[in-house]
Amino acid sequence: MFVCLWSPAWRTVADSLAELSPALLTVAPRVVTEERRGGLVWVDARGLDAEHIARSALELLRGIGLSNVRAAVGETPITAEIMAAGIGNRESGIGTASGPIDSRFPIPDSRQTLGDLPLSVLEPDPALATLLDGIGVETCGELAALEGESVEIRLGAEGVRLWKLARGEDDRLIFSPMPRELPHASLEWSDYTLTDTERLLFSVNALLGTVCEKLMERGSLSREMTLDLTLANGATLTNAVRSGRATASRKTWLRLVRTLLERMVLPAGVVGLTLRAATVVTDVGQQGDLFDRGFATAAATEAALASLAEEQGDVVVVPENTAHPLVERRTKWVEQRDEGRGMRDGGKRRKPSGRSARAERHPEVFLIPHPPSLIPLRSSPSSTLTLYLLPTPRAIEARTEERRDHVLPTGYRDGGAWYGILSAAGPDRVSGERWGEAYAREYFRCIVDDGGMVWLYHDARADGWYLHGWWD
Amino acid sequence: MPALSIAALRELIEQRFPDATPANWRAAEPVATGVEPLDRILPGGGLPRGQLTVWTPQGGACSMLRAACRSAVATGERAVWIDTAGTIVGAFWENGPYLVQPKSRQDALKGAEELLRCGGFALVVLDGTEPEGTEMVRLTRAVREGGGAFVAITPSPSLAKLRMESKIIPHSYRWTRGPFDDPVEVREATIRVRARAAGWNAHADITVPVTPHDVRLSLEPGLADRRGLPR
Repeated sequence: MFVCLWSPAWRTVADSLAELSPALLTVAPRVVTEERRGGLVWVDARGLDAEHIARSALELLRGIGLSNVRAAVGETPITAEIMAAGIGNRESGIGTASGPIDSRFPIPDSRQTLGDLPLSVLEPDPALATLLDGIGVETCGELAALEGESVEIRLGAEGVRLWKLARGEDDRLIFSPMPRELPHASLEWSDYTLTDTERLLFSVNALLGTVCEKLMERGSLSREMTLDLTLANGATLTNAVRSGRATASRKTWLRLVRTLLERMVLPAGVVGLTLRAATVVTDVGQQGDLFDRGFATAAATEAALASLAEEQGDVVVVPENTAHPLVERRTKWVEQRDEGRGMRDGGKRRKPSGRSARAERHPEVFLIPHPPSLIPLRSSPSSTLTLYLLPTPRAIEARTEERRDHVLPTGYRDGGAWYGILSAAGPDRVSGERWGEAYAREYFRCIVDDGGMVWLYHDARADGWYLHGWWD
Repeated sequence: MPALSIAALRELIEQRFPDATPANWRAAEPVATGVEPLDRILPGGGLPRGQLTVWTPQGGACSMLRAACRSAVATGERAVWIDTAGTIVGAFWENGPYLVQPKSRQDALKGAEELLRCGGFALVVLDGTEPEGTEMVRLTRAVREGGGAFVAITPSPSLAKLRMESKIIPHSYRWTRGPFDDPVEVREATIRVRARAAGWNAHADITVPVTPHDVRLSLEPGLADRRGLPR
C-alpha cells in the first residue's frame, strides 16, 4: 500500500518537503518527497497497516501546524496520488488532517479504473492530449476501455503509458529497493586495552567466523573487508583488507588480516573491533555433472590457487613470448588470470567438440584456451623431447676438432666429469646488440654418450664454452 | 549442489566414519598419460591416484610427464607442473596445465602440499626439488588426502608406490643430414622407460619426436653470422 500526502500549504511550514521527512520517519520506515503537483510526500506502507500510518502521519503533521493535509491510501501510486491531490475528490477516498480519514481508494483493476475523472489528472503530454481530444476520449474510463493493441498502434508508447495509468496500473518505483545489509560483526571491551597483535588476531578470528558464515548463508563472496579498530584515545583506525579473488574462506581472510596486523603500528590500545564485508559479489554457481571431478573440485582448486597466490605472489604463471634472438630473453612470465581466457581468444570460443566438450562446459577447468593444435589426438604423437634451459649458462671445458670453417665439440667437462659427444649438429649462430651488450654465440646440439642431448654454445667474443640446456 | 556443499558432505562423512577409506580412491582410475606404450607398462594403465610416484630425472622423464599433463587436461581434469628450478622454456610451454614457478625450495614444497591436498588436480608434477625425509612424508599424506596422482622427479625413491626410470638410447637418434652428410636436425629418438612397483617390473621403448627449435639468424646457411664480433 502507498500512502500519499498532499497539502496546498506545504511551503508555509517547511522550506522544502525534505525537511518533513525526519518527522515522518518516526511513523513510517521510508519517506520520499516529490515536487510534482505542488509537492507530494510518499510514505511506504507496503506490508504494514496503511490506514494507521496515514492517520499517524496526519496527526503528526497537525502537531507541527499543518492542518490542511490530505492523505490517501492506494494499491498503486497513481490512485493514491490523484486522490490525495484532491483531483478526484471522492468522499470515500480522501482523508484530511482536520477530518476523518476514510480508509482507502477502491482497488483499481482492468474493470475498475479511474472512471469518469478527466484525462488531465494524468498530466498527459499536450500533443497527446490534443490527439485524444480529437478522437473524443475525455475521461480516464473512456481511455481505459480501449484495446491496448489499438492504443499502441494509434498513440504510441506515450499513449500506452497513459492508458495504463488510466487503468490504475502504475509500475513506478517510488521507493528504491532497499540494499541488503552487508555482513558485519563487532566486539567491544572496556576493562582493558589490547596492543598485542596476536591477541587482536584471536578476536578478529572470532569476528571472521561470523562474517564468513553470513556470507556463505547468503551465497556471497567478499572481495574486500574493512577492519575498524576503536582505540582507547577515542580514535578509530580503519583498514581495508583485499583479497585477490572474491572468497568467503575464513582461512584466507585470517591470513590477510594477520599480514595487515603484523605490519600495523598501533598509536594506542584497542578497545573495540568491527569487521565488515565491504565489497560483496554473488557466488555464481554453475550447473554441472557432480561426478565430473573437474567440476566438483573447482571451488577447492580456486581456493588453493588463491591461497598460493597470497602466500607466494605471482607464482602461477603463463609465458608471454617475444621474438628475441636469445631464447632465455624471449619469455616474460606473467601471472595467470581468469580474465585472460576471454582476452586471449578475442572472445571467440571454439565450439566444443568431442572429448574436449566436457571441459569446455566447465570453463574453470581451463584458465587459458587450448589452441586446436594442442588437443592431443589419438593418431598424433603426444610426447616430444623438448628443450630445457639452465637459468644461467654454465661454463664448461670443451674438447674440439676442426670441421671446415668452424670447430666442433667432441667432449666436454662439467662438474668434474668428462662426457663424450657422439654427434653434434651446428653451429647455429646467433649474434646481436650492436649498441648494448653484444653477444655472438655458436650453438651446437650434441648427443652425449649417456644418451642425453645437450645444448652447448661457444661464445665467439670471449672464446668460452657453455652448457645452456638439454632436451628432456 | 555447489562444490562447497560436496566438500562439507565429505567432511561430515569423514567425521562420522573416521576409519573408513573412500571407496573411490581405491577403485579410482589411474591418470592415463596419453602415451599408449607407457600406459601399457604402468600398473592399472596409468599413474596411480592418491600415491607417490618417483621418476628419475632426465632421460625423457619430462616429455612423458608433460604428455600426461596434457592428457589429464584433455579429459576435463586439471594438472599442474611445479617448476622449481625455472628450467621450462616459455616458447615450448603448451597452455592447458597450470605452471607454478615457486621462488624457493620451501615454497615449492608448501605449494605442492597445498595443491595436492585440495583434491582439484588429477596430476601434480614436482620438478627441480628433491623432497627429503619428513618432507616426503608430508607430501605423501597430502596426496592421499587429495586423491590425485603425484609424481616427483627425483632420484630418491623413498616412500614411492611406483618408481619410474627412463633413458634415451644413445644410438636411437634419427637425423636429417645436410649436403656434406653432417647431422642437421634431430627428428626423433627412442626412450626406454621402466616401471617398478611391488610385484611389478615392466619396460617399453617409446619413440618420440624432438621439438625443433629456431635460433639460426644467418641469412644463408653457409654464411657465418659475425655481427657483434670484435673486428
